[in-house]
Amino acid sequence: MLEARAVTVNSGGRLILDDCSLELEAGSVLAVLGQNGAGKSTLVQAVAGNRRLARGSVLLDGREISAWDPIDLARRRAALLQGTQLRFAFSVIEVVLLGRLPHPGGGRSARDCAVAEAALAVVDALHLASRDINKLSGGEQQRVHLARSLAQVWPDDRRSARYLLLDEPTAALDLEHQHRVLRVVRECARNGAAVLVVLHDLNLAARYADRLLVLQEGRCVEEGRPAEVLRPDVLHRRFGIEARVIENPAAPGCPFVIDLGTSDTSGGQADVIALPD
Amino acid sequence: MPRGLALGLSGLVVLGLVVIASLGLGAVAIPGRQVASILWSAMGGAAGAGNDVPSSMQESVLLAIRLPRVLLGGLIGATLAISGAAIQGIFRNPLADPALIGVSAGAATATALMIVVAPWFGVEGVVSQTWGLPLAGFVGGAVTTLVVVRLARREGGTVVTTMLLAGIAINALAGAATGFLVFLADDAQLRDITFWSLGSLANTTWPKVLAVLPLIGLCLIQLPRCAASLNALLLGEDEARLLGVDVEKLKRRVVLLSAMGVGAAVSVSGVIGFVGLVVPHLMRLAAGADHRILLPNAAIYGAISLLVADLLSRILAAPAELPIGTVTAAVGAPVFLWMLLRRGGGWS
Repeated sequence: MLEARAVTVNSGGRLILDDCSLELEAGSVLAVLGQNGAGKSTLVQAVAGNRRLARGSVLLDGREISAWDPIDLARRRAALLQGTQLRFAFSVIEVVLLGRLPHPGGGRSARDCAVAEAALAVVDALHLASRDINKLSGGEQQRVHLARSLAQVWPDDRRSARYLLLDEPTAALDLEHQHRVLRVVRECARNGAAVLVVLHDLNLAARYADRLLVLQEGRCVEEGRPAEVLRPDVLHRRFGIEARVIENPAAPGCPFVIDLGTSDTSGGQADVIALPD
Repeated sequence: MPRGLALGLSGLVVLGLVVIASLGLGAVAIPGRQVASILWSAMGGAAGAGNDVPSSMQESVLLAIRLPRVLLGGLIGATLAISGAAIQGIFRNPLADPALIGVSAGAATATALMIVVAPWFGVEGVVSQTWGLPLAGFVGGAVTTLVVVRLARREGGTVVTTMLLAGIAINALAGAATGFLVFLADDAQLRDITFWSLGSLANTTWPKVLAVLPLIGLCLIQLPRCAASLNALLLGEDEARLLGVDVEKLKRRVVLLSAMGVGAAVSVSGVIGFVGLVVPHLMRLAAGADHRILLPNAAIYGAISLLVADLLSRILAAPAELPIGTVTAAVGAPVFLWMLLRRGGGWS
């Protein structure tokens, strides 16, 4: 289990995360929601062990994450961060093989290559394997980096717990690939991984996550099953939108949010936002 | 055969040919067979017989002048190129160069200081020339680099942009200090400093080679061991940490090793530009950005480039010699421009 207990993170004198707690369990998907600047990316970094905590602690399998050997940790926990960019001309397969660096083959063994190819196939990017990553579209690059994260914690014989932390993996993707990527995420959980995924699309979150966590101004303000969190009053309070919630026609029992716009537009006619000349 | 390995092997063959040419060509010509014969007998083999026997003149030119010069040239070229490649990796910027973070400027100032100030304290001649200059170069390069790294440290991490900008400021300061020393220098010292700032492998002696060998050797052996971590760092510092890389340790290591190698190199040969910038670029074009392939190849082709430059500097104006720094700049700058234009609009 990966556990954050009362995590508080400061940066430049500003409180980014305030007393956040969460639990990631094997086999389940937790979706983190929240407005821009709510602290979602910092939460991912903190849970991954990449941020110095002002207070609180992050425990992986019961042990303080900073006490783990970095290589051991890297074999169990992968994170996809936002805005990863390579300045140098790496081929797609080389990028994915970087995810195998912490493993015994160091990204050069036959096993590493097999895993990298399998990971690329899963995100529908195997046909790009020999292309220069910088020549791909934003969405394609994002899928390649997701494949790298998957390759990093690809199931092996040791059957140790694995953790996958994904910061907006669907941000630049077309609709079809959004679903595909989240089905992959689901599949990872089914294979025993514990997954945290930051999303903006409430309906995707409702459909693919077991639990939702809503961040607002650095605090964890709502947590629960999709049907518990996705209620009109909560959506108004936390996301500033008017919404109607129905049952998803494609997924019985799963809430489906119809976004009616912000409160100043939901009355019918949208207010004109004055733009400077 | 993988592309990197093929590149490396053909590089070694070319390096061998260039070494033979460098040993044989010059004011006193020594044909290849006699080069072999002299080296053979120097290593304790039986002297050959017949009319191919090299003259004692050829023997002393080869053993006392050309061999140390070629050895030093190869080592320095390899160090400049491998350090350039590694520093570019650390900064994730293909335009970075040891000169950029102050290694060369620091080494230059310290060396000028040694040339001008050491005689005031009665330190002169062989001691200062052979051992003093390399040491001063290394210390100057390392101190400047550490200052830059220190300035760029924030909350336990090193901010690369700050480091580059601090490097520019420190470079300017070091330049001012060197300028002041030039102002203090007498005519002979002035000539030394000027000559040195243009770079040269002339007057290479065995003691000089031995003086820099430990520093350069350590740099050449240790840097390739950072290759896999440098690859991860290209993704970004946070990403590299997630892959289990100790980023701070890696940065410290690479910066120190480069300061050591380049500082020592600069101190015996003067400032030789463009090898550290251009050779890694060409290697990336030829075999990709993987540091495990890039670093060894940069070393091999760096050695080749500098030996060819040295050969040109000896031949073009024979019997006089051009400063090698002018040759590398005259060849390197156009190549660099060509690479810029080829990319069609700059580095993003």
